[in-house]
Amino acid sequence: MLKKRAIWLVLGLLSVTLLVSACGPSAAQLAARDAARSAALAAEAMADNMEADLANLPGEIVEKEAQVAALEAELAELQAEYYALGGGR
Amino acid sequence: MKRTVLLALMLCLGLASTGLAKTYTAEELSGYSQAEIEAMGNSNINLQIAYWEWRKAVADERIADLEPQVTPLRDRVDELDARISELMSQINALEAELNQLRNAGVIHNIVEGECLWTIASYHYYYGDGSQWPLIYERNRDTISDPDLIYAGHTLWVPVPLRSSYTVVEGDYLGKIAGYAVIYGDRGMWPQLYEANRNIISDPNLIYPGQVLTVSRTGVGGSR
Repeated sequence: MLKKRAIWLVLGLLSVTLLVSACGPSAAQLAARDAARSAALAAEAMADNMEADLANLPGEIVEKEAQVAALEAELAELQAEYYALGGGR
Repeated sequence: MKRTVLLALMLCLGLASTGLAKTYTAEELSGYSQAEIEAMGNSNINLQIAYWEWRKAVADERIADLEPQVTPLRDRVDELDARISELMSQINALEAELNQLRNAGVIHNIVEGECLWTIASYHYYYGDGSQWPLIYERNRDTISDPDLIYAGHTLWVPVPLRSSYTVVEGDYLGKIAGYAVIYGDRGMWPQLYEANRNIISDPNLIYPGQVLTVSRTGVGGSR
């Protein structure tokens, strides 16, 4: 008799366990998954940007340095004309 | 009996925790593609979380490696951008002042026999004697009667300095350089010649209709 009850109990517990497993993830788990996904994609985008910067910025710096040199020359030329025309007196 | 119930309970707990407590190695997670993970929908949720956490950890490592290399480059770009913007604003301000100076007019030394009409009619000024009131208005503080101007005095002629000049009959480089709208100094003809070497092979040979560039770089000029 006791043995029979024990078997029923075990079967009952097993059924409940299987039922719980089949219920699927909770809302908190889904939110955690979505948050982890967003964080991972954001970090990857940031790393990709950094890699692109590492490849592009040296060239950009050379261009900007040349632009600065050209602007400095232009400014010097304008200043020479300015003083030649009597400016600043 | 008791042992059977205990075993059953442990079995149930083990089953319930399946998938919750499982940890995944990087090797296992790297075997999945993003498409495969996303296709799982709401199943294998712990695997999905582990997968995205692993992806973030990998990206964080990349960021940590890249940051020390990229930061100085970004700082340099910012520095150069600031310098460019500073130079641009200086150039713009100077251009504005220069335009005022360029358009202020030139000084004309009156010689014997000139009147406002003849001065206005010079081709390098207005080329039209009827424009004399422009000169008169500009010099109202020194001219009381427009019919009375005196040799040896100076007048402001409100014309801008030329950046180019079209040669007319009788011109030569020294004469052109001496025009007030050019350099106001005949001795500066070499500068005119240098700026037009592409069209002048012999400084003694220029032709009517030639358009000369008037370089203003380092010009002393006459004002």
